[in-house]
Amino acid sequence: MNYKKSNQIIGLVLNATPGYSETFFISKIKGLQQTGHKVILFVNKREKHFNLCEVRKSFDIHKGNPTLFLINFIYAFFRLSCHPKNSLRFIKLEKKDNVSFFEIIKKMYLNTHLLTQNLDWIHFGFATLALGKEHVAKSINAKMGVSFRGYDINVYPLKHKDCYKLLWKNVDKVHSISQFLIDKAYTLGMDKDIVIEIITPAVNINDLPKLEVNSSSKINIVSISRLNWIKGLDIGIHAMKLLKDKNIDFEYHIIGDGNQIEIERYKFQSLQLELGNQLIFHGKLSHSQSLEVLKTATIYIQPSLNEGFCNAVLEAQAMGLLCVVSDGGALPENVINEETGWIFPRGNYKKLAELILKVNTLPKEVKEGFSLRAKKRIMDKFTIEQQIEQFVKFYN
Amino acid sequence: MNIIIYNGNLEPPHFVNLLANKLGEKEHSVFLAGTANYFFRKKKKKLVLISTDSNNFYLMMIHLIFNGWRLFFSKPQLFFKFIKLLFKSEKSVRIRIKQFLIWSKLIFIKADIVHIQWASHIILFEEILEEHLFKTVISLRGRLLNVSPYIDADLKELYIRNFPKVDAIHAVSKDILSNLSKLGIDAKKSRIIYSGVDLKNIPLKEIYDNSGILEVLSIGRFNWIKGYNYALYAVKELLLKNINVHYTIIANGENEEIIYLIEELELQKNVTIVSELSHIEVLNKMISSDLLLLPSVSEGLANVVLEAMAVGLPVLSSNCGGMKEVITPHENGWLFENRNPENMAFVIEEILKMDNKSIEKMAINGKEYINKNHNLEQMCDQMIELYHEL
Repeated sequence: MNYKKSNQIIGLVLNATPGYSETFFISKIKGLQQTGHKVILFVNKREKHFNLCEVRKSFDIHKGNPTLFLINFIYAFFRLSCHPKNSLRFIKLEKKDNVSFFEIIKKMYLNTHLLTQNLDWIHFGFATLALGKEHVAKSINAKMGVSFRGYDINVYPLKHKDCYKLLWKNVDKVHSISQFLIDKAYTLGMDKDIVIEIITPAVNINDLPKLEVNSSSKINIVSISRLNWIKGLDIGIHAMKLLKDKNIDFEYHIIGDGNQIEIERYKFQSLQLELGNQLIFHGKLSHSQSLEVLKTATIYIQPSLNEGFCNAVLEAQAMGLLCVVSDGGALPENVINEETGWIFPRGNYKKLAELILKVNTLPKEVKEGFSLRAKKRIMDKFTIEQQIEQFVKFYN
Repeated sequence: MNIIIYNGNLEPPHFVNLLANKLGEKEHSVFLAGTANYFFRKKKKKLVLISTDSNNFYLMMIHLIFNGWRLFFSKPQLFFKFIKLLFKSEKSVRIRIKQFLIWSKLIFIKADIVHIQWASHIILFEEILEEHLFKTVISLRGRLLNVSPYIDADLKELYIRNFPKVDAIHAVSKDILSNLSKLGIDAKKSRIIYSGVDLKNIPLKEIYDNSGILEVLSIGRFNWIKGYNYALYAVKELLLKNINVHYTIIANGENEEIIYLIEELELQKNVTIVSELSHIEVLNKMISSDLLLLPSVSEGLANVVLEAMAVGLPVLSSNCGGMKEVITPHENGWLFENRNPENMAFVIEEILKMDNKSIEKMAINGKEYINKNHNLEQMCDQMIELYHEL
């Protein structure tokens, strides 16, 4: 690909430096660098081994160590005083919004690593990361971009009403991974005039293994998801109970980890519904290990109550797996019902079980048709190259 | 007799408090022991609160120095025994210090019986169970018996290793006791003592009116085990059938899943979450409600159901755990199939078809059942009988 060298300095704000399995950010950073942009990462937690680009870490609060905090505070004050224009603009903007003096000082300390920069763009990797930093971009004369993720828009505002009021006022451009999140953001008060770009996750098709031919009659069902309530795994597990009651020969593999309470919740459900060894919890697997499980699967299911988009479903389709997903969030943008997969009403485990049985009994050529259409759609519309191209456009 | 109720901390739930206070009234010295951020003992009515250790590092060190010296000078043999036992242990240093502090405190207050309220705390006593320094009783309740050991292999091993060494096991229901054999646990002595309600201090519901909006009430902390997600789906189902229902959940804190489901199912006008209520406020809320719903997926025996029955509030519970032992369907309450919101909604519909008189009769039966089988006096007498037999 040949891109015009544009040489912008883009500050990407994340909670932590991305792990190498977090392909979305890694490919974004690499793509922007390839096209001549400079990327600086601003994080709260830094991994020592990360060397893809320059990294700046925020100042810590150092709870329980007042001496260290004081040293840091003096150093932050010194650094901010070297950029008086930025600092004064920040104070002015905050004062305009009637923020208390103490809050302004706190925000300045926490944003020192950003306020002392010379950037063209500040891009917040998640909307929640922009909270308390809404005036930073304007203070340093940079443009402000923000990415929407599922949790940002679907869950966080339920607990914090009007939390994005300041964000909507200050953001220049929004990146969303789906149309669903944009529509939802409008209901949260996002201005219709804000420029929006949908850049979906992408799949590196070359990395994916081929599906193994399943000669046995057993249905191998797989889900990849954290054991979080929003993933609707209780719906998936309940559907398996219905399959078991019908004496269907199946195995359900759940790949993903959760905290102690979450693990207990789903393992206990499996125990109570007497699913025995037909339900396998794999815990957290590496990407290649997950692919190993996926390649022996017959059907991929995603019973989520809501999804921002869902990379796992995208990857499953790219491998040619038959996908049955709920209509939660952006999943209907990810899977085209009755064309690249099947969609059931979220929360309805009976419908999910019915669909699994229906899909399993389809003639071989019909299944192949779905598989080919899904693969083709991913290869046409969800490639890494397209994603990079869209990101470069985003900043130009 | 010096009875120590070990609760883990000094902020016990209502029913542990009730047990401890009532035992205190029965002419025994009762101490409530657990971790706290203060050093000296406190007195609450006839109950003495003993801080065994602390989460605060500095306070923990003060405890260690003070208890260490005191034990070394008063009972050097025990001092060295404890050190030897803990030296052999593979637990973390922090846990071992905690154990030393608890044990020495129990020696200082001349404990005759230590009643461990939560099964998993057996880990803090396991090295001295066979030393016969005092008798031990352990209570089997809820999740710690009917969920966690099935998932956590280490916890199951801990129970298998130690329950046979305990002097007596108290179970809150037949169902929870049945876990012992399911988990392959051997026990010397076990007894079911059903939880009791303090009937002297309970207000009574007098008006039963089935017309108008059905006020359904659930009480219990936010946790998946309470099955609130299933209850919300049932409420939605009722509303879709044009049945006017309002659902109140009394629970402290907040829960993303429940807030999300209320919005997703568009139940904002039909569901209210109330928090931070005192016990008497909760009882008053029971009086103004029409039905207590227990949507839990697992319970040893839910005290809240016993209390609601004592108040005279009709109860509908899932058929999980020990609930079947209390509720006889259509006689003193109703049961629905566990994890089945459709069935939950169906039973509520059936209840709505009943006339006020029949509902009142059901509530009266519930009250009588609790008076007969779950009063606090009776429970304490049975508990003391168990202590005396040791």
